[in-house]
Amino acid sequence: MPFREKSAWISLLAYLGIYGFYFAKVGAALMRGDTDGTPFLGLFAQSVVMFVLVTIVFTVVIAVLSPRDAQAPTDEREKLIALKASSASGYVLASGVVLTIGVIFFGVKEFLVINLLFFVLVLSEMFRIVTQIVLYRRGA
Amino acid sequence: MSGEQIRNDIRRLRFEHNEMTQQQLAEKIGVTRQTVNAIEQGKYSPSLEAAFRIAAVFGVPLERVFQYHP
Repeated sequence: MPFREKSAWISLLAYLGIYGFYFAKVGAALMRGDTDGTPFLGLFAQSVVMFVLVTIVFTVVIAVLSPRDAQAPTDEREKLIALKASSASGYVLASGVVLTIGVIFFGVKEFLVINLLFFVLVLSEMFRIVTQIVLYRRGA
Repeated sequence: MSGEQIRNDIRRLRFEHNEMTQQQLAEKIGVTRQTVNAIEQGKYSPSLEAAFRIAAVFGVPLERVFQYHP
């Protein structure tokens, strides 16, 4: 498996694990009818920091294990894959933002709106990574 | 980008050039081994520049490497 595909898998698993935990906690609070976001500020910050640390540490580990692959510049096929994936995820992001704007008109609490926007951002990033992995697997 | 209409003889040309590996060809044209593999299997059509580089590595005209079948 090439370095960039491994790196994509690391990001995807980190998104699933770390932000999955965050949104599970937020979802549970919302189910209880708890819409005060203040207690979640700490969890939000911890999740972001944890995500950055986990992706950096594991990316460094795989780079050390295959240094030549890691140092190789991005070639034309990889650039095309990145562009296709970003383009596809852009649709997810735009659709999610529009839907969230629609939800605002129903008078929902800020805590839900903020987390919906954050969820859309995470979802679009995960979609970008999955698209990249699929394109790497298919060839282009 | 990929198309079955464009076929290539890269595998045969590699074999004829001292059984050059995909990795060796990749290093000569400045792409990854996976990209050479994708080109060879017709899954990815390279840029004109990369196509000319491949032809130059084998010392043959471009049409000896890639053939278009409309």
